[in-house]
Amino acid sequence: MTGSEGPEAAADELELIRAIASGDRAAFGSLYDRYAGTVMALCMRVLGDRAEAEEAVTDVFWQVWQQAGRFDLERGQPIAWLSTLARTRAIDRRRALARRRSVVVPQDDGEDPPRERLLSSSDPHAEAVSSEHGKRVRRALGSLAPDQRRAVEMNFFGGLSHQDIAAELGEPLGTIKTRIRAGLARMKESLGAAFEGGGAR
Amino acid sequence: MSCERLQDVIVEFAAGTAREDEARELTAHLAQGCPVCAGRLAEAEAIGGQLALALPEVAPSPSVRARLMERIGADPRVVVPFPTERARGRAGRSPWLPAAVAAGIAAGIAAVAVYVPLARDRDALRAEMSRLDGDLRTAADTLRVLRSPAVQVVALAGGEPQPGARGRIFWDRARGEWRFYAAELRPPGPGRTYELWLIDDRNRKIPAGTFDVDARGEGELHVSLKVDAGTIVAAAVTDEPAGGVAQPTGSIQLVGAIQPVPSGG
Repeated sequence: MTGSEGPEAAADELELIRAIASGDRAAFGSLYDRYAGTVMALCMRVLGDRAEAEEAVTDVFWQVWQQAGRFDLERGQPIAWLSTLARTRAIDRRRALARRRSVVVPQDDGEDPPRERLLSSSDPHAEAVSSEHGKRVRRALGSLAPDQRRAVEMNFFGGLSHQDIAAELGEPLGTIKTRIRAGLARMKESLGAAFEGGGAR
Repeated sequence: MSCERLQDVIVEFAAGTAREDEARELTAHLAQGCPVCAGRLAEAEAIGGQLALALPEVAPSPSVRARLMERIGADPRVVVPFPTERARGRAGRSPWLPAAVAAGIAAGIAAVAVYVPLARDRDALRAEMSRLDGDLRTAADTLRVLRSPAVQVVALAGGEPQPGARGRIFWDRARGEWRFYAAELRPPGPGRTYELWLIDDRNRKIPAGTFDVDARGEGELHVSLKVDAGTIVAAAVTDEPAGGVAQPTGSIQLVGAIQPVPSGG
């Protein structure tokens, strides 16, 4: 199930983090059940391989278990923290894989995550986003100018750096940065109260 | 670094794509207590979290959960339950102290306040141990190559574009392992990377992998590559499109001659 469906749920999630920090294993299981699907989705986007993505999911939740006590409640919602962790761990893993691959020579076929997946600005499974909230975010994403949306998705879903995106699209780095910033500002505006104060509603 | 310049780093940090040196810079800046950047990061991460919720969920195999539960079950953490009162005020807005300390004080449970710093210290120590363990493995592995009687050291000097750059290769001829280290190299331009080549006595260029350099201009590459040891006469690094190429197209950044040795030597 998707988490963050309202202020009540948001408060519950903060309670879960506090409980995990105190060593509550059941609370850890609840947080996992709530967000493993989303964390896995992010990791799959970046890594494109189920086994690797599952390893990244394991890294993310292990880090949650170890660092819940350091989670700053004022920094926002657990999903904000979890998604940053997921992206970072998945990208770390992708970099490590790329380094390992570069060891096998020659390696013309050492594939990077399929380009179409990283570059796609549309998602064939969009309809499968089950929660109302997820649909709302999706609509907000759809309201962006196409080039803004593409850049935001390449950065936040594909795990490509601004520099990589600029190279991939053959556009100046400054243009990409501006596009992403404008896209995020527009997202914030569209979602409005949805993440005001970090909470999802 | 100025807060303005950090704006894009903050976005990349939330997207997970910040370079290590950028992430370190941002973390150091935040540690100084900059409220502007802390606010911007919270906002970027909040949007990043919302974006994540737009993705169709993908369920990991049940074994992932089972393994994690087993692992945390074996974690010798002291369990001190927090008070179970519901969170007060609006989520994320409430002026809470870091959760653990606040809860401890509110409930008057000294044990909690003591436990949390201890737990944090232990977490920090554990993370440090895990990092040291990784470093140690790498060092032991490198040492194994350096100790090998079959190791040959090759020095590379900077080419015309970067005369100050330097490189060194430790080539374990018996095992076919190459450890390459570069220093004082400029980071490659956007969409570019560095590629290492081995060149044989018939001037054939054998691709040996690509690498990037960090903010200090240092880069490294560990390669397992069996070649006819007697025929390799030089190694070079060129500037190439990201992902590397099958044959060199860019300018030579580093180059060094390799003293040929008899095969199997």
